[in-house]
Amino acid sequence: MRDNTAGGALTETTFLVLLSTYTPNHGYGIMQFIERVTNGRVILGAGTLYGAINALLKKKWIAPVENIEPGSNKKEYVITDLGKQMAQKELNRLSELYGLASRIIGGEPL
Amino acid sequence: MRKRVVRYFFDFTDGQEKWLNEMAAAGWRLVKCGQLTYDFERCEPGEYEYAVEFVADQSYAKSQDYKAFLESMGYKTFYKNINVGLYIGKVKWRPWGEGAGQMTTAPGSFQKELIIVEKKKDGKPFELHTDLTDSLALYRKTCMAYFWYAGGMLALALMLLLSTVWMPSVYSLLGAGLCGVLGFRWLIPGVKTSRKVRRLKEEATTNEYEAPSMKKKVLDMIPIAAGAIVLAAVVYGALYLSGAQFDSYSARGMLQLSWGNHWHVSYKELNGYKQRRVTLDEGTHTFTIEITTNAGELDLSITGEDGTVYYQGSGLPTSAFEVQVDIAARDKLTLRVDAEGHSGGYKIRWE
Repeated sequence: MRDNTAGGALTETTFLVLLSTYTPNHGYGIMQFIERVTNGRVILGAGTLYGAINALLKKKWIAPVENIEPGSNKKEYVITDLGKQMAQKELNRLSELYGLASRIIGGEPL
Repeated sequence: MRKRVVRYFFDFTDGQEKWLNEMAAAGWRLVKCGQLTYDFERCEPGEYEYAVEFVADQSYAKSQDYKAFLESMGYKTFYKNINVGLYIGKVKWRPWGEGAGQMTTAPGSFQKELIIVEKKKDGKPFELHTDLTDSLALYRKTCMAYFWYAGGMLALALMLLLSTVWMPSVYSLLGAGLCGVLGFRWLIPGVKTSRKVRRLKEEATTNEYEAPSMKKKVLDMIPIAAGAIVLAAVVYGALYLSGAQFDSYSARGMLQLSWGNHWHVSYKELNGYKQRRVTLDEGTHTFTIEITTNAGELDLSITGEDGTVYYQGSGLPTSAFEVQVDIAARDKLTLRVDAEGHSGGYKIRWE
């Protein structure tokens, strides 16, 4: 899940996974969260989610949480400061795009 | 109630997945898989569904991590082999292996090329890869795997076929046929997968997609290159070993160039005999022969299949000469060189 080189855009998968780790979350939780907040529009496959989590870990946009409960095999992840910066950047980009699209589709002259 | 089914899938991803889903729809749940066997137990028809993914491109540690992740998502997983290998003690050998590293010992990624994932049906679609970039990467590597298996087998078939030109053998022919059939069985799903890759790529021109980097492409080539070298070594070894029965010699500093209607050999020292088989049509043929003798003895003979001696020369000195051979009916000739402490070489060309 690299940045889209042309516009610096994140893929939807990347952005949604980032958003789902504002509170520590594990793989299954991330999948459920995304399905819930998009009203079932986006259901991530486990393989895709695995790839996304590993890519974000590598970029240090999310970090693993030390397990508090002993014996639990579910790894939890949380967004890092760098991850939050990237999410903010994406929000700005989307807002700009949203404004532009709203005006044009709404029939407003540029 | 349990049952065991013996099956092998050349179409190891989609074909195997489809069959497992058909079994599940008929009320059979996978409980164990062996090299060629699948053990099932009774379940409600349509209670489970399956997905099969190729993971042999990853290291064993990585595929284990992925497997554990899938388990943590609530799926049941199985490792499954593509290769059917032979066991010799703890060392495993796969006849058409991909790399020397995988010819070592158990445990390891050997015969764990695939992961079978089982999910309890909940009405939602069961797809492991839902992202365009991700699906493309998966199909690409799966496609590569099919072509690698097909290519390896077809190359082996070709080598065996070519070897029969100068070493006629029914076994080589049978082997070539078998390898050819196996190669084509892998080629079919390979082509199917490559169509999927093409379709997804077209979609990728309008939807979000990231092309793989050059570095990744280069890294992807390494195992293929390594595999090709190993395969070439294995084939060369096999040809060398089978050739040893046809020839029997020991040589020092030998250089051999043999193609079409040429047979050029030079050496510091040659002892024993070397042969080459030539099929010629009826008519008059000319053998152009050049001998270099620095020391020792060299004999040369050209004989027909029925034992007709067309030419025989002993203790040949350094010379260049031509031999005319009249052939009454298409014949398989044997060129034979006997050497005793011979230093030099010979060049034979025929028309």
